[in-house]
Amino acid sequence: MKEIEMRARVERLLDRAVRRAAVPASLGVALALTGCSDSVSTPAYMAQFPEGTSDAAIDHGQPQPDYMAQFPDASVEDATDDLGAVARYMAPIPDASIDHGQPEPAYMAQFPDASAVDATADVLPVTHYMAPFPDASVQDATDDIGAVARYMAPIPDAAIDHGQSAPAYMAQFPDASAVDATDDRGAVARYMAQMPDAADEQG
Amino acid sequence: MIKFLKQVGFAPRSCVWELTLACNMRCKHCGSFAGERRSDELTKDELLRIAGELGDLGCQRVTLSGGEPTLHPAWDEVGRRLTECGVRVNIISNGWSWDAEQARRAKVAGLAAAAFSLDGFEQEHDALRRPGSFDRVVRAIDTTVARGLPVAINTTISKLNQHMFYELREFLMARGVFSWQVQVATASGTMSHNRDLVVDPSDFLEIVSCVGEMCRLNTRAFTVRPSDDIGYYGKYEAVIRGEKTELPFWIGCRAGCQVIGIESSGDVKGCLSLPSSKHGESRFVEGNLRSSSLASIWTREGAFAYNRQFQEKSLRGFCSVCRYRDFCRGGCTWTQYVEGDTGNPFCFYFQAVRQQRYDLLEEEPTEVEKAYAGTDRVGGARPADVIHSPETDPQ
Repeated sequence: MKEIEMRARVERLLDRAVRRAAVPASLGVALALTGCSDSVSTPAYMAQFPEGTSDAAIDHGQPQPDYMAQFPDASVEDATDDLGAVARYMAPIPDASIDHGQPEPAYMAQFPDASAVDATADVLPVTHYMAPFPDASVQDATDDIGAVARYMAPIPDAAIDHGQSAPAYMAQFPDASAVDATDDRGAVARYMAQMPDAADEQG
Repeated sequence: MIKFLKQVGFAPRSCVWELTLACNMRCKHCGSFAGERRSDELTKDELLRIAGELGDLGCQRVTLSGGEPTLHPAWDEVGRRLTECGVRVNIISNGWSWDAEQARRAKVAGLAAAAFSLDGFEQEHDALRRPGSFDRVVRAIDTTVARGLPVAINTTISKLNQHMFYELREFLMARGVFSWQVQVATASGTMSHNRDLVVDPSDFLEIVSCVGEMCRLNTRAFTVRPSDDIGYYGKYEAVIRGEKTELPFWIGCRAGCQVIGIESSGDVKGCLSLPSSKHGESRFVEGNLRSSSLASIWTREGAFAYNRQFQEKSLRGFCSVCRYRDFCRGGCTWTQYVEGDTGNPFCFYFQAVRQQRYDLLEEEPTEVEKAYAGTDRVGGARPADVIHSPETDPQ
C-alpha cells in the first residue's frame, strides 16, 4: 500500500471517530425531544434550538425546520446517514474539545440518566457505552485523551472477554471489524503470548 | 501514528505482567536478566489488588510472564482473579517445570491459553537455554494440548534459528499449536553479552520476507503472528499486520497507549520489554504500584511521554528522514533503545532502501531517503548532516 493510501485510510478512520463522538449529543437531543417529560429541566444544549421551532419535525421526517438551514454545508446532512435525523445538525459542530483533549464537552454531561440512554438503545445503536462506566473517577477530565477516548478505557466488554467479534462500543465506527482487527493484530508486544479466538477454542 | 492512537484512546488493553523475575533458566537471549527474584517483589495480596485494578481499567488481555511465572506460587490465583474481572488471561512459560498439574491449574483458573518459548530444534533451543530444555518444552506442549488448553509458541529469532522457519512451522502445526509468535532478539539484557547471536540487520530483508510468506499460509487452525519488532512497510507489511484490517500497516509502538507492562516489583512501564532497574535505566518507569494506583499512573500527565507526546525530532538516523516516520515513530521502542538512539536498522523499509531492493517496496524511495541510506551511515549522524552534504545531495 502506498503512503498516500495509508494516510487516506487513517484520515477516514479519524473522521469516523470524530463523527461518532457527536452521537452522544444527538442522542441527548433525541431524548430531550422524544423521551423526556416536561418536568425535566431543559438541558443546556436545547438552547441551540431557536425558540418556537418544532421539535417533532426532526424525528418524523417532516420538512426541515428553519434552523437546519443555518448549517453552511447542507451536503453533510445525508439522509442515509445512520446517525439519524437528529444527529445531522450535530455533526458540523466544531467541538474543539473532541480533538484537543480538553475537558468533557458540555453535551457529554447532559444525559439525565443511564436508563434513558438504554431505553433508546435500539433506536440509536451507539448508546450503551454510557452505562458501563464502572468508575467515573477513571475518566480523568484532565487527561489528554479527549472525549472520544475516555469512554473507551473502562468498558468491561463481554464480547472482548470471550473472543467474539467487534465489541459493542466499537460499533461506533462504521467498519467495526476493521478497527477491532487492527487492535487485535497491532498490540503484539514482545513476550506477549497469543490467545486463541473463540472459534479456535471451540474447535 | 500517535494522532490515531490518541483519538482511539489511551487505554491499557493488553498487559504483560512479570509475576516474578525468578527463572529456572539463564537464557543467552533473555532481555530482562531473569534468574534471581527481585528483592522487593509484590506480595500475593498486592498482586490480587492490582489484578482488580487492571480489570477496573478495562484491560482486556493479560499475559502472565516472568522470569518463569510458574515459579510464583500464586500465579493461578492471580490468573483466576483476572478472569473473574473479565480479562482474558494466558501465561507464557519456558516449559521446564510445566506438567499436567500446571495445565490443570491453568484450566481451573480460566486461562485462555498457555504459551511456551521455543527457539529452534534441540540443538538451537538447548544452546540458548539449558540442556534438556527442548525435550521438556515439547513435553509441555503435548501435555497441554492433550488437556485441551490452547497452546501458542513464542520464538525469538537469532542467528541460530533464522534459517529454519518453515521446518519449525511444520513441527508446531503437527503438535497442535494454534499460534506462533516470532520476534527478533536484540542486544539487550543478557543478549548484550552475546551479540554474536543477534541477527545481522542486513538479513532483515530475508527474515521479514520469510515471515511474510509464512503469514500468507495462515489458517484459522494455525497462525504466524509477527511481533511488533518485525516489519516495517514494503510488500509484506499488509500480510504481516493483517490484510483484512482497515489499517494493514504499522502505526507505531503502542507502549503506554494500549499496552502496559508490570514488573514484579510493581514498577509500571509502557511495555515489559523496555529497560528498567536491571538495565540501570529509569526513564521508562512511570511509577510503582506499591505507592500508586494503576489508574493514577496510567492517567498521570506526562506519563509515557516517549509515545503519547512523541515528536518527530526525537528520531535519529534514517528514521528521521523516512517517509513513514510519523506513522512508525521508529518502530519498536525497545529496539530503538538498544540501538543507542541511532535509528532502527531492524527495519524492512530501511534495509530495502539501503540495499536498493526497491522491488520489495510499494513505491520508489524519496531522494532524501536514498541519499541518506547511501551514505553508509546507518545511525549516529543527524540527517541534516547528510541532507546538506555536497557529496550526498542528489542535486
